[in-house]
This record gives sequence, C-alpha cells and structure tokens, in this order.
Amino acid sequence: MTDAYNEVHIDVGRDFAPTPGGRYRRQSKWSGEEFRETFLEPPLREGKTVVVDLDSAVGFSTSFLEEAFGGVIRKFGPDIKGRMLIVANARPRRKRQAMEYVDRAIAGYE
Amino acid sequence: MQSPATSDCSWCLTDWVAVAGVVSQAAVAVVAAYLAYRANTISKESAFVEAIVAELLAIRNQAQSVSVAYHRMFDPFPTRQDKEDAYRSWLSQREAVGDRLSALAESFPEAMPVKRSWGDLDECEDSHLFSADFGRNPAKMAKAAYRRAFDRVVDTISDCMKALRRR
Repeated sequence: MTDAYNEVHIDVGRDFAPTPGGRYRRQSKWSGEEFRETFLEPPLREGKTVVVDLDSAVGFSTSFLEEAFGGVIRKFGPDIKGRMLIVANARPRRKRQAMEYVDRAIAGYE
Repeated sequence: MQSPATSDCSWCLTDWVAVAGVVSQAAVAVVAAYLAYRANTISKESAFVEAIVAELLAIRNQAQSVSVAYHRMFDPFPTRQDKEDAYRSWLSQREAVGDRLSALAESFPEAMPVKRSWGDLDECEDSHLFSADFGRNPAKMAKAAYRRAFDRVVDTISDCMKALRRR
C-alpha cells in the first residue's frame, strides 16, 4: 500500500490477500468486510482518494466484491464513488463487476 | 452506300451471335462470381458456427471442472495448504469461465443467456461456500439449488448450440 499526498494505492493481491474470501469476517478469512474496514474506510475517512488495483489477486468471490465496494457506498453514501478508483487493466471484467456492485448500491441507497 | 444492316442480313446474324456470345460469357462470369461469393459466405458462416460451437463445448467442459473444484472444497482436507490450493483453483477456474463467456457474448450476443446462467451459478456457489464452513458438507437444500443452477448452465449451452445449428 502506498500513501502519497491525498491518494492511497492498494494492490489487493499484494497488500491484502492473493486469494480473498467471502463477504463477512465470520464466514471466512480475508473477507470483503475485513478489506473494507481495514483498507478502504480509514483513508476515505481522512478525506483521501483510494486507488484499488484488482489485477494481482488470483480471483474474487462475488460476495467479496459486493461487500467491499457496495459496502463503502452503503456506509459513506453515493458521493464517495468519486474518491474510490478501481483499476484492473489486465482483468477488465473484475473492474466491471466491482463497478456494477457500486452502481447497484447507489441505486438502492435512497 | 448501303449500310450493312440494310444490304446484307448475314452481317446482322454474325453480329448478334458475337454479341450473344459475349453476353453469355458475361452471364456465366457473373453467375460464377455469385456462386463463389455464396460458397465463400457459407463457408465463413459455417466456420463461424463451428468456432462458436467449439467454444461452447469448451466452456461446458470447463464449467464441469469448476463444479468439481467447487465440490472439492467441501471435502475434508489433510492440511490447510491443501484447502487453500483447492480454493485458489476454484477462484481462478471460475474466473476463466466468466472471462470466456464475456468474450463470447461480445462476439455472439445469442450466448447472453449462458452468461446470465453462469452469473446465477457463480452467486449460488458463493453463497453456499461462505455460508457452510470449509470442510463441512453444504446443506441438502444448498446442494439442490446448486444442482439446479448448474443444470441451467448446461441447458442454456445446449439451447445455444441448437440455435446455432439451425442457422
């Protein structure tokens, strides 16, 4: 994880886990809930932008992605989307999937 | 001076035979070109259909491997490393199928139902996997739901292949 100026870069596979788990901490290690609470929420609370790179992980369960990224929207509101950049240059489908959960959470926010 | 047309009908006949020859040669050339074009089109279409069918068959086989990898995770594992290896295998294989289906659906929109059914299976696997601890058998209901979702994937692949072969 690199923290420069107002931006934090997180490489999920390297900084968190190469094989992320399920949705909640109680269900599995390396859950989406754990990732959101320990990696995404602290810098977002400090007003920073997070850049999350999904490329290097082996893969993601759907519930991990939903809880991590949809969960941020549910907790901080739709405007936080502008400070959460998801990157997956080598595996673009991962980004599309994560963004789908972000948009669904925004649609269900109000 | 008389024109050949009025003076001698033999010129007229010769001329028309020549013209008819040219016209018929042109017609033969046009028909030949059309037939070649059709054969080319049909062969391209047929090659396309065969390629899609081959890809669908490959996806079906890979989906079956994902199913095996998924069910392996409910087996008791001798070591924690074995369990993690099984999880790693499932994660990477299911994503590979998802990627292939997305690529297929982009070039062949009729494959969208297969992609959707794969998405349903994906979510079904996910919810069962993380609601039942590793090393424990999923509940009977979960197994039945999984079976239905998996059968749906196979059915949509079969439907897609049938539609392709009717083209």
